[in-house]
Amino acid sequence: MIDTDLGGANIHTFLGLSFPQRTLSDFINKKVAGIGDVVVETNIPNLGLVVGAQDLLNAANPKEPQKWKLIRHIHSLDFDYIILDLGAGNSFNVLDFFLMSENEILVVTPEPTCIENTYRFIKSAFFRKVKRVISHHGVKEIVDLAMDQRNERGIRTPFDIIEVAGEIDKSIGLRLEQELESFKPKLIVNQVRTKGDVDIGFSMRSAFLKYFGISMDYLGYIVYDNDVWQSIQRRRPLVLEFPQSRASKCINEITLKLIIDKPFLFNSAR
Amino acid sequence: MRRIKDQTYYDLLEVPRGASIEEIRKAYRRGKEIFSSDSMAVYSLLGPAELEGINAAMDEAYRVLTDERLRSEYDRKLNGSGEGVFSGEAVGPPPRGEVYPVREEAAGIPFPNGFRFSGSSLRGIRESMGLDLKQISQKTKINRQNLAWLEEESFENLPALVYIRGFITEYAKALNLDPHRVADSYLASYHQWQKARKG
Repeated sequence: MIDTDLGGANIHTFLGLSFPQRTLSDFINKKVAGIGDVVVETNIPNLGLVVGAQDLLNAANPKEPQKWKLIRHIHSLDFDYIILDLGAGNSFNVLDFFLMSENEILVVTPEPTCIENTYRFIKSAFFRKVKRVISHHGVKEIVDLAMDQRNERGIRTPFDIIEVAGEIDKSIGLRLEQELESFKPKLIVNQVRTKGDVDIGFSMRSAFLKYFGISMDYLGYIVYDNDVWQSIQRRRPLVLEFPQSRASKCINEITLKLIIDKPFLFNSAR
Repeated sequence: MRRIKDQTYYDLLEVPRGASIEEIRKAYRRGKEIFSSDSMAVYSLLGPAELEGINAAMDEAYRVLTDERLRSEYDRKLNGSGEGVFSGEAVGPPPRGEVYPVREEAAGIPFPNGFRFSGSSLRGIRESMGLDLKQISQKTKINRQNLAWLEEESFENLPALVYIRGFITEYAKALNLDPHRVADSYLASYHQWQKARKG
């Protein structure tokens, strides 16, 4: 597990590790040769952790080349699964770590503010992806324009970008269509209290498909559970401290779906 | 991947081509809830004009698809436009997770009723198909160690039951076996082990 929440790393605390010897800062500041050198053992068998950066100013804001080096090194790690914990917001750092992943997972709480931010995040992620794969200057300008939702040309959605890009150069339009088809972020709704909250995930999926043409997989939901708070107080992972809790069971189901790549079907929530 | 204006009525209501009237009604009601102006899921995404457009399109889709005559005319038009042949059954890609063709006989060996799919028999089937654990692991995304434990029926090392069922189902599919039959048979041993452990 790699704590890539660069400004607010705290996974080590969830795992009960107080004073990590080596952290991501050592890699970013070139004190070690490879990221493998900063993987520390945890109390959980087979789980290694790269503790997030501890020096607030340097490592929390790595320069572009440092970030790409980090991404390259993460790709070269030899583990069954590599989990990146990302910070909030849609800065380029967060977007690039998100986009490097095979399974791009968003966790949303059923609140208007959070849903709004999730939409903004996915749009930003897609636009960032487009800007990374397309070198055509004119198309990049269109993407910049689309980031301003009130732009005078009315370009708002990926569809609009694809259409305008296709007018500039047909092959770019086709390439972007492929990018849109292959962009399949996954969604988890957290802190669910009612059935209506569970349905938020399906609604967001529908809205996204209709409006953006982006098909999200709704992986499932995690119920609001006091045991989560308790486990954080004890600095122990929830699923180990309270394996029978309702939230743990939800997490187990989601994990299984992820491992065997099965989507959450609408009827299974009924 | 189509814009609203280019979507078929079936796409708009998110139902398969062969959907029953009841399925269409349910899907329409759900769609209307999702795209209502006070819906938490869409208010920050769509403006009033966009919502109105989507709702009008869904209303029209519902009107046509719940009228037998209009629907068959519409289907004819869709077929004529090369949209795919309407067979009366759901048309579209197979559900994900069902990518392996399932057949009763793997590697030419028929399995009689009551055949027990134990860890060792699964290993035998795998080896007779010339597959190693690495290939199964790539196909199923289950790590090799867990696959080895499945074959050894090393339940004390494997995770909770829900995972084992998932693993064995995927493993069975990778061997072209009926996943339900294999899982039920295999998990009988697990339940015996659980019972023995609890004394």
